[in-house]
Amino acid sequence: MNPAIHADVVIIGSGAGGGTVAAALAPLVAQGKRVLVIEKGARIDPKQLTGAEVASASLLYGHGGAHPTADHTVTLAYGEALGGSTMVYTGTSMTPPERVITSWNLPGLSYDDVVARTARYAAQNNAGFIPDNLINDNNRLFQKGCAALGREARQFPINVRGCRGSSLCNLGCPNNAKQGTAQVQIPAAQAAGVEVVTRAEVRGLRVGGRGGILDVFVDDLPHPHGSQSEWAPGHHVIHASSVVVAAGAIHSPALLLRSGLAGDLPAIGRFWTCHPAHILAGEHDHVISNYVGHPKSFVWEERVEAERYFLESCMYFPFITAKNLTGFGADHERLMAAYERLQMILVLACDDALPEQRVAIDVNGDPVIHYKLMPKTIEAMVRGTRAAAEIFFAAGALSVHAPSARPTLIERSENADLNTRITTAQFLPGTISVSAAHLMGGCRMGATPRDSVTTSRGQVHGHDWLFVADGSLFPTALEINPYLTIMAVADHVAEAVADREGQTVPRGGDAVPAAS
Amino acid sequence: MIRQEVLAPLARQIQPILATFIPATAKLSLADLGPVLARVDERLADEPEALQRQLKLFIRILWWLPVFTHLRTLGGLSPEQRLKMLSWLQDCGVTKLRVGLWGLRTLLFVGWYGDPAVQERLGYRPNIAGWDAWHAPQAPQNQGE
Repeated sequence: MNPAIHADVVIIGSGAGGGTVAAALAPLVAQGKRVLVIEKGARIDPKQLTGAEVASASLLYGHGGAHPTADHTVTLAYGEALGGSTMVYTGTSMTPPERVITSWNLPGLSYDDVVARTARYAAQNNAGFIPDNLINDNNRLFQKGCAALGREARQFPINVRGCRGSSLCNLGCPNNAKQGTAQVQIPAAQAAGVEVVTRAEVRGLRVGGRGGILDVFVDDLPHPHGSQSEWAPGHHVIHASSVVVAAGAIHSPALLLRSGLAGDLPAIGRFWTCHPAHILAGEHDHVISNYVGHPKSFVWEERVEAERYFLESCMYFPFITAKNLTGFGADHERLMAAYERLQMILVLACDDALPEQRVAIDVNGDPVIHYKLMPKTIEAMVRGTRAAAEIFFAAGALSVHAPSARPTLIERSENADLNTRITTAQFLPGTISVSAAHLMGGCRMGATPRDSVTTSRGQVHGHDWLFVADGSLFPTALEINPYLTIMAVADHVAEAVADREGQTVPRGGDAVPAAS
Repeated sequence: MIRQEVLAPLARQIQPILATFIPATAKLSLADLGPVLARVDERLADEPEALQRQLKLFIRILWWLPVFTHLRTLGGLSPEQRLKMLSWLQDCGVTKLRVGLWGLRTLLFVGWYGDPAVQERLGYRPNIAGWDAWHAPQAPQNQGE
């Protein structure tokens, strides 16, 4: 075993949550504190990002981008590298809906406060609208279809700097244009003296000393591209005054469960939720620019409150496309052959955070996600599928592939029959590819340890040394792409950590200057 | 590094399944299947052994299942019969069977559509230079919108 390590603050994870806390607490180093970031994934050099679909997915994602739920009917995507999921997101920088934040009813975390923090991080990450000439046909067709139907598609602010339109966001930007935590917050934190250790997994937390004791294992497995760990392989023990768990909505609750905290906190792992999603493809009679440019420029969300779904323009790589088109055989193959003529729309549903939807652990302590698509969620996805099909046809598509239709291909002449062609009866979990990348809950904030895990400041009930700072804190689904809200909430948690350490830090992400 | 073989030893049983999922692969020989299954095995390498065992068992079940209905293995069925059988499984009332078929289908798609040469044949030619490459003289030209 390696010699014991002593630190003041240890942050587990380096994504939108952990990266934010690292940068926000970086000023503590100048005040004599030792701050560590422990990241399970590898440090990736942008030069190693080639855009090769399968190899890049293995390099950057947990479970290659398809962590299955317990019954294997939904797959979950999250990044596993320095920068976490900010390495593989599209950088869509959204302010959360007021009704969602207000419904959380968390003291000290008002909507205005969240908005102010998201605005600061949006500025820090250079979020803005990409110029018109970078928007491709695939996205324009979404906007055109919406406009023809009297629907207002909103352009996503995107956090890029020097985007060339490689469209490889989900495989890690080879041009380092996306301004994720590996590009902005982590380098700023390191420059201020925060230490970052990669390829190191925290397997357990215990109470001890001034705070907690962490059991960390550094791997020595061959890794095709990412760099080696900064630490020697093997078991390391860290003593820390404050511990911030920011390993994401799957691994944060799993770590707390492995650490034996569920006895006092029955809500750990529970109230887990996501935005289950599937892809529709519309076939046009001509080649369109789809795999070049930014892949995700527009969202249509006018029905999210009433009908619990929203739609986004999107484009995916060939294997992901093949996986997401329902079925197989000649029809499937023919549609794949039309790849250059395909327009794509992502249907995302908002489901309820229920206690039975939960992260548990197996005998090895690894996470198992017990998550089922509820009837209300399926109904929302079916409504979204119909709305997406209307947009395709309004944009001029000849046919639409709809997962919850049989046969799945709907011809333009059937446009008037969408309600009968696309039905919940034909939405078969296990047949239709459903995936989610917006993972939330499992360590929800709340007032009491009976039905929540942390306070509204992310401090675990009954454990004043332990904090959570990632999407697992969300009490309900956010109803929009979540990274900027995760940063805002993590920033709020960082202030609580600084308070515990008896220090002050600049408020609201000011430790890192706004992008010029 | 020693490459772990998971599905490669079952190439003979997988061949008719792959040909049903992706008819263009029907003309591939067992030797041609090697690189396809190698990509699948690479993807499976980090998955738990229990999952790998379940997958192999599922493939063997698919191989023998038609014996009960057609008195021959999956390899002895016509393409139409295979398509009918696998389509029935895809939409059957047993979630575990649907999930098993979906999982196998997805893995075989990794093996085929994850191949950069196949991707290029589909017209997918990504370039780090993005729009600059798209607008370059030899790049595919936008014909619409």
